[in-house]
Amino acid sequence: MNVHNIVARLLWSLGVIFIVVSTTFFLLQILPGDPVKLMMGDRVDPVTVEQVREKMGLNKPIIQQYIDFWLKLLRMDFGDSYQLKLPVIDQIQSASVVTLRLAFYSSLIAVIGGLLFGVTAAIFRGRWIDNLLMSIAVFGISTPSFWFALVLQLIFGLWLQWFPISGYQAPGAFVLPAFTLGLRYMSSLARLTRTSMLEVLSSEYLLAAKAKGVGSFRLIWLHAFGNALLPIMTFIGSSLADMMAGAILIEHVFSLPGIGRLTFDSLMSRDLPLLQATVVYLTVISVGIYLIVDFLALFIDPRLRIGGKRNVE
Amino acid sequence: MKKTITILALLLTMMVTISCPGNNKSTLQGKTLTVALQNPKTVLDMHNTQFFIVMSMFDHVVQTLYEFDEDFNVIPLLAEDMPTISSDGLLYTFKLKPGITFHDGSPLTTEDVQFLFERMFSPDGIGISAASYDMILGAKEFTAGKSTEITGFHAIDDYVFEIQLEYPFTPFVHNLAMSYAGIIPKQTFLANQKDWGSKVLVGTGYYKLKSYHPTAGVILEVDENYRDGRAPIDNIQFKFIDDESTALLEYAAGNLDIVDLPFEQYQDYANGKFANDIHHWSRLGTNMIIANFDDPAFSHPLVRQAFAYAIDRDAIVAQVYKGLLDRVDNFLPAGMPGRNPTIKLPSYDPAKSRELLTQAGFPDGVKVEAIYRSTNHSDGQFWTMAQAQAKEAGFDITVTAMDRAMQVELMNSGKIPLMITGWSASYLDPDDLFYTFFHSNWSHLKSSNFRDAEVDALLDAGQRAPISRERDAMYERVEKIVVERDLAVYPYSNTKEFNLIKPRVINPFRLNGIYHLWTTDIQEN
Amino acid sequence: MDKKDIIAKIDNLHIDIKTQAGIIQAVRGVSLDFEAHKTIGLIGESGSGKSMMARTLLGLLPAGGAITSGHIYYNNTPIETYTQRQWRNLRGKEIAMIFQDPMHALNPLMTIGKQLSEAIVISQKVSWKLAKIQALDLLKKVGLEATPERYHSYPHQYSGGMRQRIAIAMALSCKPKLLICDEPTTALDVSTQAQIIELIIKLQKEYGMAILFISHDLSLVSQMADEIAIVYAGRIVEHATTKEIFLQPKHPYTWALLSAIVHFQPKNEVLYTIEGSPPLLINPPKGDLFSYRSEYALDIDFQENPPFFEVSPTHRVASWLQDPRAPSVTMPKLLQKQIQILRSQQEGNFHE
Repeated sequence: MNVHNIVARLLWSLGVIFIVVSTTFFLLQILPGDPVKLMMGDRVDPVTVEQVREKMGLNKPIIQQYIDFWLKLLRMDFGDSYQLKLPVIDQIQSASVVTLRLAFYSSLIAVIGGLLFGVTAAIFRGRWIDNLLMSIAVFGISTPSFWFALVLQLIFGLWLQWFPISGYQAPGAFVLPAFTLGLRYMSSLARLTRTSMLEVLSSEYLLAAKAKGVGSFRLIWLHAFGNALLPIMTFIGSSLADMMAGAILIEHVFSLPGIGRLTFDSLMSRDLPLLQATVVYLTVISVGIYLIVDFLALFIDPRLRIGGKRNVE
Repeated sequence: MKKTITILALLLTMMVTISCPGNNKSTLQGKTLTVALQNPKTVLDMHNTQFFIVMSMFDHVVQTLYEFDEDFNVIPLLAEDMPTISSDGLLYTFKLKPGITFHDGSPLTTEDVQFLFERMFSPDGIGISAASYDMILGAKEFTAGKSTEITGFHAIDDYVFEIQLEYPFTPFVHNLAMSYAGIIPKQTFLANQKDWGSKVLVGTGYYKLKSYHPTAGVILEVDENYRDGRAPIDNIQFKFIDDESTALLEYAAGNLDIVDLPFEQYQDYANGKFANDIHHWSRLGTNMIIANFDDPAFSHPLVRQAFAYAIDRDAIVAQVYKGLLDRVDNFLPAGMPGRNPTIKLPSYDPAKSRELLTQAGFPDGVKVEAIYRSTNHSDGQFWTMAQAQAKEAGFDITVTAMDRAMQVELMNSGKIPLMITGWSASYLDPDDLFYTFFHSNWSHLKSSNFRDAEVDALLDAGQRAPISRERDAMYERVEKIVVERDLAVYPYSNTKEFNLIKPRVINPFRLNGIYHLWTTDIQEN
Repeated sequence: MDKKDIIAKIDNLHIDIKTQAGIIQAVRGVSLDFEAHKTIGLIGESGSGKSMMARTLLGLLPAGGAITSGHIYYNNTPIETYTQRQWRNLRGKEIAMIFQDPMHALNPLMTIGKQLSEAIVISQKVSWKLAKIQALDLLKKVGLEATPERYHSYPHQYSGGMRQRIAIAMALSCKPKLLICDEPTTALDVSTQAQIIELIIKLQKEYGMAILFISHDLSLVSQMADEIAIVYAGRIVEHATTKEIFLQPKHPYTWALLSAIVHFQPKNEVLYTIEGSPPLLINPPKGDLFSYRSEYALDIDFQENPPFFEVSPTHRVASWLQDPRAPSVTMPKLLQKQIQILRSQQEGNFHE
């Protein structure tokens, strides 16, 4: 592993964050809809509106606002929400905990289910179990999530009463949402795993390992799966980044106050400090996840490391 | 192998730390009523919001000087009696009921009432509803920072105070019955400003705030020592559920006592096993079409007349609103003083419409854009039907859906050419409704841009006139002008709300959309 | 005569492979004996079934492949019906294999030392620590540096030839009795080829295993094979000592193969090629399938498959031309000439 590599990637990531956040800042300024008017209601007179705008610093030149924004950001001060008049950071924190839990459980389902399905389908390629698992995968990809959510709520929430229909505080509250969110990723992952595994299973080194007398478990999970892992891992990383951005539909249906809902609500009410803070948060998380995936890739596959060329004679 | 073990170990630790369940909600003792509400996304403070969802919770904890009974008569609550009003209508004298304490034990005195207004007109952050009270003398100067006290408010002693108005304003006492004028303890508020409306809310109401969670909901617990005897139910739990279907599922699962029934689903439930759980509530409101006077075509009186023939409002109420609402032609809701019983709008007649358009100089018809909020499905359905009807009649309507923020912006700047709106009054006085829609100072806010000097004069006079037959006549005249003569609005139905309520709930009450549950009880079997 | 030390035997083996296109009769009655210290070279074009013969000796037939009749014997025990578990007792322990493409025959994500140790741990059931020491020894044996850096290096850091050495080291870690080499030098350049062949010969001298060396390159195989079996369309058509194959070939296919050897051909002339292509073995017609490409075909070739005719105790040919009733034919003139040259040039230089 190479320090040069790591530092370069870190710098690049910071650059990406900077560009995304700045672009968002300027785009939001163009967005029609006056947050002050939305907050204050219909009958308020223009003089008051101006007063409030002045107090909130909305009348300063854009560049000034932009610089203020970054100065505050570097001090980790994200400002107060227009709507709730409370620090934005608190809202993001509580929302992110919810989303984190949802993302975690969903990933668990997606990864375990996806890998198991994919590897099994690859091993038993062409047989009935392969067809069955891949059919489930197709179903999972094509099913609209809100429909599936409703079905789960109906069957497991209402009829069987095994899990709560909505809310995030009761025990087991994340089960139905996690299955709903995890289903799509699990299905895509299953298909990807199967393809990747099939490629590896037909490789020469696998045959050679088999000829060496390596047992099936080690053969599949160490030799085969290890080599199939790279594209799979990248996919898992990007799925996780997706989930961390919040699944707004699922959060809405299951009444989970996560980041997705927060982002959407802040957009609808033009709550700019909150919106900008969520963008910063999401960008950092996404970039962070991809960084981790990159580093893991370096860790797993020696061919990607610096000096990964033929050097032994 | 080592790699696998480390990864599994990491996974396990993550799983353990994250799966610690959130605070396991402790079961509430005693009779508990569970109500589903959409998340208002704001704290329980009427200073910053006009959301009636907040009022449904707020009104149980904080009270006002006056309140409305079920017939919308204004009756004293914290005040001992109706105020004495000077003959010129400018000076009001009030007396508080002595001996009332807030939930934290502090006594209710004039100081707290004064504080209500000082906060409302505060130069640091004016209340969102301040415009309904700024006829109090000195209020505007106070806001502008030109004086350190509101000259119109005179504290006489701990229980008696006077309020002087800048001009006579007949609905003043009505406004004092609105939640915006809720009385809170001054010292307690100042000591808990940051947490006010979330962690702390103190008032004189039947219930105390037990907990507020910005996303999960609010729990209220009964004040055992309420001065007139405690309310029947021990705990009221308001659960925030944004998705309507989810709320209905929770109701079906038995987790909710009261839930909103969107009228799109009314038929399904009316024919199902919960048919007997359906409750109707009327709201003091009207659904109407508004066409912008600034639009080049719709500034012609003949075009406006033509439009009255161009939409089949009967068919729309039957189809889109499934006949659940009542067909009306009046702008003012039933029961409102000043409602003109003679008002009648023409029925659907596309041929007549085209004839009028030709007369107006638009033989090829009129193009106009209708804008509605994308989240409002029934509005979309309305325009789909109306578009087809209007086409026959020579009006080519393009329909645009817009998100709330943009739509509000456009509407407030008076730029929406055509739209429908449902607007309800807060109480039985026509001033607020008319003023908002038709006074030339404000009509742009509803994208109406109606301006008529006679109407302005009548509205200004009506505001100041004492309650009388003459006052009613003024408003009847206004309604005649704006609806029948000038067609500033095209009303088509009244407004109603529907709930599903579990049979065990006795005497649930919803006043004009706001839940008032302190006389409600639960029958435990 | 010495009792031959027969390690393994294939006896009239038939292998079918089920595919979507139909059932391929990959191997149609092959018999071979594998003796310790001896190398059999198996020569044939692609699709001749030689790979299947190799893989079946380890129970590694592809999905859809099955032995339909015949036997495989290892140490006089029939093993053609072995379960996977039973095969695992043989693989990497008694029977080992080296593969064709060294670029892809090693797991790219594991260090070569680890892979080598893995082979040792499996075959000898020792601890990883002990295996590591043995692995370093093995590296030395195949001509690589036995250092910790080498141990912790990865396949992609090596050239093809070196990877093949590593593969050989892995195969020999268990001191197998039978070594199968499936075209191990096909992907290497000529000088590396020679090195690898040398290495294998040396190791055979040391370990004494029987070797099955599969190739399509007749001249290459001549350098190390004691016997050569020519395979066509799933059957052995000629089987003799290397010398006999080169100096007294009898089957027209063998003639064709010999004629195609580039350095046998005169310069400035069009290269010799065998016309036609090997047949698809789904529902093959009866008879000798080479007859469709042979100018020497007899009528009976299309009717009935020829049995083996013994030309010498070590030389058998499956060709109707050997039948006493057959007309006598002579090999192509050019080939005759080349063989003459060969005879005089390299008398006694064949691998004996």
